[in-house]
Amino acid sequence: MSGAWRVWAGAVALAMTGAIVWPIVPDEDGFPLSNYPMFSTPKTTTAKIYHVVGFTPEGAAYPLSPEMVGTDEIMQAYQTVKLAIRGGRAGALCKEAAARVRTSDAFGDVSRLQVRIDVFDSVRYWEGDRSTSRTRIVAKCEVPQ
Amino acid sequence: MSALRRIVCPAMPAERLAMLRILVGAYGVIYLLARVGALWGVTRYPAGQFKPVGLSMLLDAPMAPAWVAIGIVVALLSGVAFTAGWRFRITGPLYAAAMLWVLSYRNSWGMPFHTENLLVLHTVVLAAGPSAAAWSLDARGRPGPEPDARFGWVVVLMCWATALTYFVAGWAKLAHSGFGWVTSDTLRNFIAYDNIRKAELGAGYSTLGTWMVAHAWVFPPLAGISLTVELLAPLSILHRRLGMLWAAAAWSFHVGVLALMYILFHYPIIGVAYASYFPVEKIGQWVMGRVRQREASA
Repeated sequence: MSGAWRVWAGAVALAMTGAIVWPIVPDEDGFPLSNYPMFSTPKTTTAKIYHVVGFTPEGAAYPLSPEMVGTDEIMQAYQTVKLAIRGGRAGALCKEAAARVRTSDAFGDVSRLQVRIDVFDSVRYWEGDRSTSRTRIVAKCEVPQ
Repeated sequence: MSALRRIVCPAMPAERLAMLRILVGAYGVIYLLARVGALWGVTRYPAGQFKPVGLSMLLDAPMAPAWVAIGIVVALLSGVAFTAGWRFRITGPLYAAAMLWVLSYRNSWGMPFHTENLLVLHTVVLAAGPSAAAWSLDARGRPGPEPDARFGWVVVLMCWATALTYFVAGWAKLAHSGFGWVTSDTLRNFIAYDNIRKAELGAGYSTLGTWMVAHAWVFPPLAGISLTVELLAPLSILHRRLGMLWAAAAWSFHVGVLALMYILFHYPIIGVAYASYFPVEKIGQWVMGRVRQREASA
């Protein structure tokens, strides 16, 4: 039996072990090597939410679904809104979402949008108190008719 | 030394490795097909959102859509060849590289999807070994090889990669929060927060998880169990039964995450992530036995 495969196996195993464990050292997230930071840091009940909210002419509010923000994934939608706000693109995002809302059946009665940051108390929220402790409206736009 | 060798390089049937190739390969191809919309959807994102990770760090700016399409097609075609074991010495590494490339690019828009990490790592490990020595187009017409350590190391390395990813996740919790991660309200607050995020982005959330938020006493024991499963993961390669037990515990952990947070870690939940802990060649043998039985009775 040739020993060459053993050298190869050892090299691959060492490289794989080192690569998977390495993100611990710089404490960095990445792909496909990660320090898996999600849910690892201490967390208070403060929940800062970046989202786009649609309003009917009567004032009823509906958070827009990920599809209206341009993705079918909830976490990607969240990041898209967050990065748009941080990158000064909230106005453009609002207009893009409005164009999608215009052709959407689910949000047919929505007439205007707000890109906003809402801060909730996460425990009180699920106990029924959905009031915000802070709200920042970053961009507003009308849904074209 | 021989005890260590028995753990890291045990003799295993080529068919077990082959079945893992088929399971992980088929899963990967189906996953890529199911996510084509998301893989292609990144071409519509603004360039300012591009935050390269993985292989995408070789890029200074987003790629032209045509290159994105080429990457997806190469990954799908090489994935089919990988699964079938066709010219595996070329298509195995090609598929692993293509999958890493395509998923790195899709993860480079501000949101890393950790659910895909282990799939990629397992694909890379399988591509590095003789995973097409049986039950493959490359091996057709040849008698199956005897069980050997050159098949076993790949299977053990898949288990080791799985275990290490859990260990690193557990380590991160200790490093960032200490044992307070277990004893404080951290887990409850994360479950409450994650479900709000879903509700306020117009998506479905866990009614069980949000109901449990009012019962704070539940969470420290759950956090303790989760952390134990993660930190003890490396022990899972020491013994076959211990490995199966750990795999069952880890799977249960993901069922809990799905129930409480509505987060679907598809690769572990379907079970493919833990397949290397089990004698999965029996699946293939059972299927082939049924086929032969039908042929005989026809």
